[in-house]
Amino acid sequence: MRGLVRRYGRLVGLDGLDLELQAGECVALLGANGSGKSTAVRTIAGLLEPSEGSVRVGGHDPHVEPEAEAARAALALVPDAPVLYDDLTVRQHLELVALAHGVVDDGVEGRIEQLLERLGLTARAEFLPAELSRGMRQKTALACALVRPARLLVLDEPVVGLDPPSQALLAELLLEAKARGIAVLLTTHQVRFADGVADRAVLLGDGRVLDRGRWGDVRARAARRGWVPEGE
Amino acid sequence: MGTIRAWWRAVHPPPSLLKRLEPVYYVVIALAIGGPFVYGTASTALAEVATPRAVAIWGPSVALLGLLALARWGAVQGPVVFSVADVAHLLGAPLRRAELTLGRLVRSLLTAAGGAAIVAAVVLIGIAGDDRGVAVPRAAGFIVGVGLLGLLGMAGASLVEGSRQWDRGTRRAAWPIFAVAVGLVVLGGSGATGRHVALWSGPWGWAVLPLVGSSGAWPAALALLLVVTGGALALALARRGRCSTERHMLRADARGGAVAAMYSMNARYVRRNLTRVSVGPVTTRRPGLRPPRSARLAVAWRDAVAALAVPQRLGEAVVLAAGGTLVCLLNGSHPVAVGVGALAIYAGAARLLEPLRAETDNPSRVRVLLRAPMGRVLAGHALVPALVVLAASLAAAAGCAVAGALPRHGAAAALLTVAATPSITLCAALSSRRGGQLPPSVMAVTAGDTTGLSGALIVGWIVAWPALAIGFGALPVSIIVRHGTAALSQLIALLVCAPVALTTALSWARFAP
Repeated sequence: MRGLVRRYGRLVGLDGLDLELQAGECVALLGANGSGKSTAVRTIAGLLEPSEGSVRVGGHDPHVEPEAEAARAALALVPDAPVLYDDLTVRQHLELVALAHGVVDDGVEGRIEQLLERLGLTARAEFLPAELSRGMRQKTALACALVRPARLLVLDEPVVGLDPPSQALLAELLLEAKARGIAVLLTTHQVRFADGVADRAVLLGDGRVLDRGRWGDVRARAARRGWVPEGE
Repeated sequence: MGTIRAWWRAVHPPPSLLKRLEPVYYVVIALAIGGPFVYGTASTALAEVATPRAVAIWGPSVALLGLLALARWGAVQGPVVFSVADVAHLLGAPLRRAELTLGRLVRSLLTAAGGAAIVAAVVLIGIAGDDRGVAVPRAAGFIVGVGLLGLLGMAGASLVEGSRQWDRGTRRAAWPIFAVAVGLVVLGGSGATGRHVALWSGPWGWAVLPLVGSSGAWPAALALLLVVTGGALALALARRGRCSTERHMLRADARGGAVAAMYSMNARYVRRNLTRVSVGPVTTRRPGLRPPRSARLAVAWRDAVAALAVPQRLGEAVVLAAGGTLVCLLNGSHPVAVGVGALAIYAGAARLLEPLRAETDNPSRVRVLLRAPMGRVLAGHALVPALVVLAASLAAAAGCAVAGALPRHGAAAALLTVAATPSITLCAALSSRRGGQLPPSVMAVTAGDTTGLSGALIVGWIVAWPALAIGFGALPVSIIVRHGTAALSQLIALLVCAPVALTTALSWARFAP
């Protein structure tokens, strides 16, 4: 993305963000509440239109039809609040997403089973979202993002609602995705979680980039500024 | 898309054909039993209102406003609305948007055309009533014309839904279009030439021409309407699927919120959910109004800041209040027109009562931020709207007097119209205080009622304050214009005492902690 600006009336939610992700790398967006992390993620994912600047996902603009189709095929989003159909079970969600992304080969059922098992959802595969806890719904949304092919995985506050073992599992899944050449962009307040997966970091404040660089360096500078607690 | 539809049908099998035909069966049975009676009653009642002359004068204007309303529907929802989950999973997938939206768009277009044709059929019942009759080709032409107008409106809604520019353009054009609609009525009532101009001024007039135009003219008008509608339809279909995901998401969120608000019968929240979708009604600014030194003026200062921050709303209030006064005074001998004028003044005051509604949205804010009791705060919120409406009404009455357009006993009528504005404003405040929600007491009384009286009670509850406002605005003026100034002092006394009583009623407002 180049010079990405997003305004909400007078408020500037994102002010000139430049960012490029390489295959197999993970970039963490850090920042306080209202710093522009979610705005950045939602703009990249095509959910918000940029006021200025441009976004390319795999070389395609996610905001211009019909070019955006290719961008949507390349980008998988896990939103901060899981969005699910009230009347579809966990398994049906995965089937629908696979179908909508053209994953119709013979092995898809096996992959769904494998993903359900990996995420601890097998016992609840036939449950409706209303019968699931917040964490289980979050896992379902994560499974929806992983069941389909993608070149960029975007996660907005993915650990919210997940217990520590699930967080560890998520980190493991993200490392596997990176190993498969998938670029990962995530926002988080939990720097310990990002410790294990992030290669680079961008620190945002009031929509502007305050710091950027290798994960360890940005983390250390952020800690010196007092943004990251010493114990973290 | 085909595979997804097939999968969806397998997961959620649609109801059988017989089940789907059930509503049709009920409608047919109901029409067979009550149809002749309803038709007779409707024909008699409508025949008095929907006369050929009324259609010729009011038809183009009403059609234009209907067209505008339908097109603006695209700014808040529109013909293609998905659920939030659809936006996340289907619009987030690499599927052709044009293909995804086609079914919904076509259904909405057909619904609009069908709905408009039904409205045309109802109008025809009135036109043909009173033994007037309508030739079958003309009736068919009218139904087709209005149906095409519905199509045109929905095609416009589709364009507005898909584009910020169309959205902004129609929002800015709304008031000028309203002025054009008023002009069309004036033209229509001015004589044969004016009526001819109004009827040929655009699609809104062409649709009406089959009923009131000459036998050679209306087929040409219908052909013109067909061409324009075809063009708009082609444009809407060509541009389908270009609506951004953000706009779809806003509409999906708004629909979810509005449906939830409907279930709790909260009209204000339905409106709030729907209106936040549009590209923004106004550009707000920060007026440099210094806070007052007296705590008593704090609420009035807050209202003045709110009014100046949204100049468009302030302008609308002034126009409505002044326009309402003009309507009252220029048509003093027509009670219905005077009532409409009073209703316009009421609407003007209601435009400025947003801060009052905001207090009732969150009563705890008053308890935390202000020392005064809730009721007194609400009464305080009526001051600025009352002053604005009073000033606008006074200016309109003065203008009328200078132009020599006052009715019989004009000075007294003008005095009473202006004097009624505080009462009308307080009626609007008392209505706004209710927060657009049916109170538990009304719900309890109407729950389980099978007599049909509950519906009347709910309607009565909803229209009580506007009706009282119309009474305050229309009755004194009508009495003076029709029967002279004998009762002037009593009417003035009434309009002086009424605001005191209404303010007291407003001050009684209490909200549960």
